[in-house]
Amino acid sequence: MKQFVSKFILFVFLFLLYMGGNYIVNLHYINSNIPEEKLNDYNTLIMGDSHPQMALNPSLFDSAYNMCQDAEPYFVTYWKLKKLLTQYKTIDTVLLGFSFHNISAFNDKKLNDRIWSTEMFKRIYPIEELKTLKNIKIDWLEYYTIMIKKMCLYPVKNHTYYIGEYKKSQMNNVSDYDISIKRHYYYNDRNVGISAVAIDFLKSIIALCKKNHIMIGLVTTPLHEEYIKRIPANFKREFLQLKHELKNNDLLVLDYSSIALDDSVYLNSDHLNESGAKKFTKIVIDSLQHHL
Amino acid sequence: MSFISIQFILFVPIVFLLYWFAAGSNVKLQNIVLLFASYVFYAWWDYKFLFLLFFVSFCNYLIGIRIGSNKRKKNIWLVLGLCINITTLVFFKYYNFFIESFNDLISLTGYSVPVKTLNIILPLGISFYTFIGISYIADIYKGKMRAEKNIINVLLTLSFFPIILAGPIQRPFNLLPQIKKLRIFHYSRAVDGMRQILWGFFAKIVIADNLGITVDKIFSGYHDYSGSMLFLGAVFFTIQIYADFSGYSNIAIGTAKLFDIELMRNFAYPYFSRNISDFWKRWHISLTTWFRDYVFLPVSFFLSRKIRKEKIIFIKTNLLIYILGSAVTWFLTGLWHGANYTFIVWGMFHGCFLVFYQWQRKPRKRLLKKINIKYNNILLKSVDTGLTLIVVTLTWIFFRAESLHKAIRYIDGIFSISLFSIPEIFPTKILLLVFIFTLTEWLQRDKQHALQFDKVALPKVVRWAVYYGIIILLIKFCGNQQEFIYLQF
Repeated sequence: MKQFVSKFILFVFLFLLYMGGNYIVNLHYINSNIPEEKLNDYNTLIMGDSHPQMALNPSLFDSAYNMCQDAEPYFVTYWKLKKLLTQYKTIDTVLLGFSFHNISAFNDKKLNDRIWSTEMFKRIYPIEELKTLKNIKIDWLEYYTIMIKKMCLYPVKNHTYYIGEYKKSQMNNVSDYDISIKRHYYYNDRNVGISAVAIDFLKSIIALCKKNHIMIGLVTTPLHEEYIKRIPANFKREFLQLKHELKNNDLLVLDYSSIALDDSVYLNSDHLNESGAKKFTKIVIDSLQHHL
Repeated sequence: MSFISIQFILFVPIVFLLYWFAAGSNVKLQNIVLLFASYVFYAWWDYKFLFLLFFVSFCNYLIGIRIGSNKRKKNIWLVLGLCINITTLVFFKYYNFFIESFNDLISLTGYSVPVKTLNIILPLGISFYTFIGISYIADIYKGKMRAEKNIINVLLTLSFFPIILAGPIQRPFNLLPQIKKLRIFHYSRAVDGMRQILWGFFAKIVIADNLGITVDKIFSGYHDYSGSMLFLGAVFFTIQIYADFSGYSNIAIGTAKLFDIELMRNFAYPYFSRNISDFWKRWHISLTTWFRDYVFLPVSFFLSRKIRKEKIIFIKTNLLIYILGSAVTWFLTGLWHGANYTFIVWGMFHGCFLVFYQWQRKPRKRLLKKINIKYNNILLKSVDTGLTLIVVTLTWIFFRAESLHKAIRYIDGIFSISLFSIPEIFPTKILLLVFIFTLTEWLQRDKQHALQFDKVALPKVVRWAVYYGIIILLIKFCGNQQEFIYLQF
């Protein structure tokens, strides 16, 4: 019995040693590596979720990189920006997606809901500050599982899963508005409400940019009229209020949510397709030049 | 509590330490620890059904004593015991199925009978512990074993936590004597148990659960895929169900070994079988032998006493008895798996293949002799194994499909011109792991499980490297967990 227990302990100890070694090596890679060297060449960062990811084509800008990822909540954008600003000094402009659904409390469920949490943790483990999220439920078991998988099994040089890229699609089907509305504003068929966390982090992103002397522009990408019609009133009210508040603070807010566009430029009711992105990016660039 | 959960990984060491350190030298204490652990394990799923488990176990205990002590009325007690076990199983598992089938049948005549279905939750493990209960009282009745007086021992036999949820279905005459005597720690047995658990986890988490994702996709959208993809889906399910259930059985048997309890083997590399009869000697052995002993043999014995003629309508009586015995057995085997016609058809297909196999055995032997091909011919062996595997794979489609209609459409989809096209999905990484899994099982096919190493043949460093490699794969692939397929039965 003693022999069995002692061998088992030795077996586990050696494995923990192996995992610990990998953890240290990977931590070193995270802390010392520049995540994406090519980012050195850019001075404009496009940030946010799938809306700006599909609506703003960075190749039409002078020097921009679209690093959005789908379903990205503001707290993740904040952590990303914080990490990147410590390494890149060339960035002078940030364009951030800002829409009705960004302030929805459905974003707060992304670290707990099984559909989202695994993907979220896979992206954020090198940059997360989860302990600062006091009012959000977190699936810690899933988080540590991902953490162990990514950090402790073997050395990996690249840990920049949080950096996304411009996504284009030629598809066109605007009839999914009910599904999108349900996903963005309802949970178990109940209005999910406004996320105080999302608004706080939006303000934190703005403050972080100001602190680093970076110009930030909030961009509301076009939404199909059928989608807009169905947005619950509380979200419309809060969004407008927030928009005015930010504008009053001399912040650049480019709200193109209700811009008249042909149905053919939409990928679906809340995203633009490739030709829509081409049109819209030009509009944004013109607008930026006008404001600057 | 699921085998593939953090709770289980913590639960086993706690019970292990309590069992060997606190109760190590006292058999009564050992059994109390195991019984308590088993009830906690079961209650973790749903404590409400704990009472049902206790009730069934207690009834079997009392009836066992009655059968053992009252020779004249033992028939009545046996019938009562069978009624309790079977009624419990039928009510919870088949009530709605029978009602729906009855309503469908009546509606064919143009009438409707307002017999309503009930909202019944299937208690986990009910098919397994009621079968152990039936074994217990039937074996006492037949005189194979004596009725157990100690209630703790009987309760433990029916609820031992490694086997309570999905078997292997133990025979009380094998398990009870082990429970009654003091267990002593054996280093080699415990190490072997750990290896078996590890291989079980590998089969389940790395192979079955990853294949399951593709299988679910193919079976749910079968109308969108080519024949080759559907065939690949059936092959994947063939591997998935084996990895899933043999994985479960290995974890169960390995866990029991940690407590110095040797459980019945449940799988013996069935996909390497040469014929369908051989397959059923190696697949879900505990269930197959259960049906053989408690259904097939009694039915065949009963028929052989009733039929005196040598031939009936040109069919030899022996073959006829075999056909009838098989029909009953395989109908029940199919039904045991679930309240759905798909399982019954699956069972009946296997019954038919077995009858066909028995019928062609002698003529085939004569033919082989005539054309001078030896039974051990490697080519013949490969063809036999391949054909058996194809038959088994195709019948699994009925097992996996949601309805008979879907199963037929699925098979229809396979046998189309697109069978020869390139499959739409080809998960290379998983296939590589499946290849390693299959190769390991092939190389170790004469062992009880694939990680049963010969100490001399494999140095310790290599063995430990293999274990670490498997653990790394387990961690890497965990997270896609699907419930064990056999838990629903």
